[in-house]
Amino acid sequence: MLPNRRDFLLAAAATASAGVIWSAQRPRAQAQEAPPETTTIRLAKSPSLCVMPQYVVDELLAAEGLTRIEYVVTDSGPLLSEAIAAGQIDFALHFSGPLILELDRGKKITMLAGVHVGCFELFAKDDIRGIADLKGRSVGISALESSPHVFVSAMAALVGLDPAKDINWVTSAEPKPIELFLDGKVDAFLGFPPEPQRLRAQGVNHVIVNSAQDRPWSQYFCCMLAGNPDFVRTKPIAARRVVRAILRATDLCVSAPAEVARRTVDRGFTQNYDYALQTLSDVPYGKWRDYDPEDTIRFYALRLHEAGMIQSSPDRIIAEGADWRLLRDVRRDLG
Amino acid sequence: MGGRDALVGYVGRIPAPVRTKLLAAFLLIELLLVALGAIGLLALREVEQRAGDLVSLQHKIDAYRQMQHDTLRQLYSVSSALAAPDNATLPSALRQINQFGYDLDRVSFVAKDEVALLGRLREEYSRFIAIATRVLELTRDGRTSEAKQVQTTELAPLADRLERLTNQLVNRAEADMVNGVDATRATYETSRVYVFAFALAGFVLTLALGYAISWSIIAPVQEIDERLNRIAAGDFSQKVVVGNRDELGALAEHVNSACERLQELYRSLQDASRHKSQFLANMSHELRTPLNAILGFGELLLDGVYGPVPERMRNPLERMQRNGKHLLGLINDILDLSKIEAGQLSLSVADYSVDELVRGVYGAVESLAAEKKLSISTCVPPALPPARGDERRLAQALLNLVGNAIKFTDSGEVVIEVAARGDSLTFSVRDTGPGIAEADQAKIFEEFRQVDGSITKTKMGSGLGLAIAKRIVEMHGGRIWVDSSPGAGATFSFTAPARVE
Repeated sequence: MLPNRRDFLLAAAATASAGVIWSAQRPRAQAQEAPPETTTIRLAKSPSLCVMPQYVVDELLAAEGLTRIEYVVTDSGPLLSEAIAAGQIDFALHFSGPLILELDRGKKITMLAGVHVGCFELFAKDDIRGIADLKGRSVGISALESSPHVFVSAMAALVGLDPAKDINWVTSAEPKPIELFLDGKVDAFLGFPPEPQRLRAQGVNHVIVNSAQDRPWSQYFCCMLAGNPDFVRTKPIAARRVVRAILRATDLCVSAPAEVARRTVDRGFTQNYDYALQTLSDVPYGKWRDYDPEDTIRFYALRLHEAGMIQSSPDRIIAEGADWRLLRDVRRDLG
Repeated sequence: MGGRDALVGYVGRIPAPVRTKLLAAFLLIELLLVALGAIGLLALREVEQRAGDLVSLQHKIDAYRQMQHDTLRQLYSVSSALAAPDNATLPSALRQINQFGYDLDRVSFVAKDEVALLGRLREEYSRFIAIATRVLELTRDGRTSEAKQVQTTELAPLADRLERLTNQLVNRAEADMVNGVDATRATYETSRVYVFAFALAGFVLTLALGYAISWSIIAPVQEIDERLNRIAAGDFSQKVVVGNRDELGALAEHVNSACERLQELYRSLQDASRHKSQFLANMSHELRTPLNAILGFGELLLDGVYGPVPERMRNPLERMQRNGKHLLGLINDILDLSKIEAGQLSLSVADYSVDELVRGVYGAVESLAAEKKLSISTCVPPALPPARGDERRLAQALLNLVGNAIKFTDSGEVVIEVAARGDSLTFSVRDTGPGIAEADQAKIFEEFRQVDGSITKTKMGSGLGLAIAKRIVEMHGGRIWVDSSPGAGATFSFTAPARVE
């Protein structure tokens, strides 16, 4: 997907208003870098709206010299993790849980940065007031090891439930779990944007966990930037530029949410501008400088270890699946 | 098999006494057991260390959690003071802030390895305390709105950051716990493998050493025993071959040298025996000639060839004749035995009829049985094919058995039986005599041996009949034996190949 002239104008307007890209230090930093090893990268296109930085990054990538962007359509579950590991996708924003599961299986993925904090919300029937009440109840998910499954499992493990035994998982790709929940066929459902925004618009407001606000989830990243290790290793300059572009796009989500929402709609990633804008308001995109991505991986690895979903230790997951050198460089670049 | 024998051979060839080998084997097994115990102790020590580490980690986590709790309590105190600033809440909040040092000291004590993170934490805490104090001072000065502003914009985010820092510490400690548990499990697995391997090695080594050492002893002993049995049977031809370089090797050498000396002695004895037998054979022959003349002339006298015999001389003449015949029988037996021992008796092999052989023997003894009023009968399978052997000698052996049976049986019967089994014939003589005790059965086939000397005296006999029969049977490749018990009669049997070539 090559950017057109209108895209560049939008990007220029948006980024100029944010004062990020055209800051004084950027040209200096970028001027010292060699050109990227490639001009093509493949990004994921998933149904989730919380990864909007990924949908507005193409102009920023073009400015970094990565002019050819291919979006590979995938789900937001285990297939996305597998696609990254298999090299079908070079970079993607993804919840750390499924990435950790993939790493535990020995697959190769490199987590490069944390992007934003909690975007998931756990909706439940009115008689369910907390995670512990999910014992013996049904939770709708699109697939085992999908992001909602992993997230709810981590939550259940934290309060001492055995997610494999204590929760009745109802797996359904079609109809979607949100439909099952609205029809009363499941007791709870973990939604990611735009689903929470849609439910609230429909007057469904009983949320027992909001990962953007509720501790401990709100203290950790939700979506991380993950890359194919071969790409990162063999094309370090391009990888660094991708990290920088994604984090700049994340900054845009904070500084120019209306522009980002509009652009997301215009590019066909969603049809509902209001949901997009609401998502940008609900999801804390401005935390990537403050939060420690390594501690996020450690935290979720601990929870999944408790849940019996992984065997590897958190330290091993970090050692084999994380590389923060690019993030440190980009932090210096972006301040 | 080859490897096992090689091991046994190797152990046998070790130039050390058996006692030393046994001690070395036991020492090796003991060392394995000691190693096993040492590994167990090491594993226990490692587990104990890891348990201590886990307790330390738990202390760390408790301290971090306490700090988190106190941070939130501070925020709550400050918020309370802002909501209701009075003389009770403000001093309380200030006092609690000043107690933060305790939490930091505790964390610094239990988490000495987290220097960088603790440094950041201490720094953030100092800022937090300073800002909280400022908020409280502003509140005390009545500048509540300004205090709220500082609390919202500075204190709350700082508390958030502090929480995340302590979260990091907690997560690191928990990850360390996972590592510790994994390491403990790995230690257990490794120890289990080691213990199992050592136990298996000990078991195998014990079996192998036990097998090797025991067979390095048993095999030479068996070899020597077999050799001694052969020597006892008169076979001095082979040597004991033992590879051992220990006491058993020395014993085998002694047995071999003793065997050589025995062989020399045996040859000397054989020569002496042959000379004796030759002498006896010659002497018997020389004795028979005049004795036959005496018996012949005695017979002529009794038959009245030289005139009528006075009645009072008849009895002495008959006694002379009887004793002369007995003496001739004795001489004939000695002559036969001597010939056999001197190797001068050879078999005259020819086809013969078993039935005729038995009938001949029967005819020879029928009158003797009749004299003692004994019933005598024969039982020969009909239509036996002609056998091949030395008919005269076999008849002699059978006659000896039948003669003995008649001699020692006072009443009842004597039965001569022949049975054909496969390629051999079995001749049996069954009587209703006094029977023979088991202890005596082995020696009656030896020369000059009889069961009871008193009986011999009354029944007459040289004690050579069974010995001669045994030699004849063995010359035919057969064997002879007796089944008997006292009071139940006796059955003497011998086998002979149906066809001797």
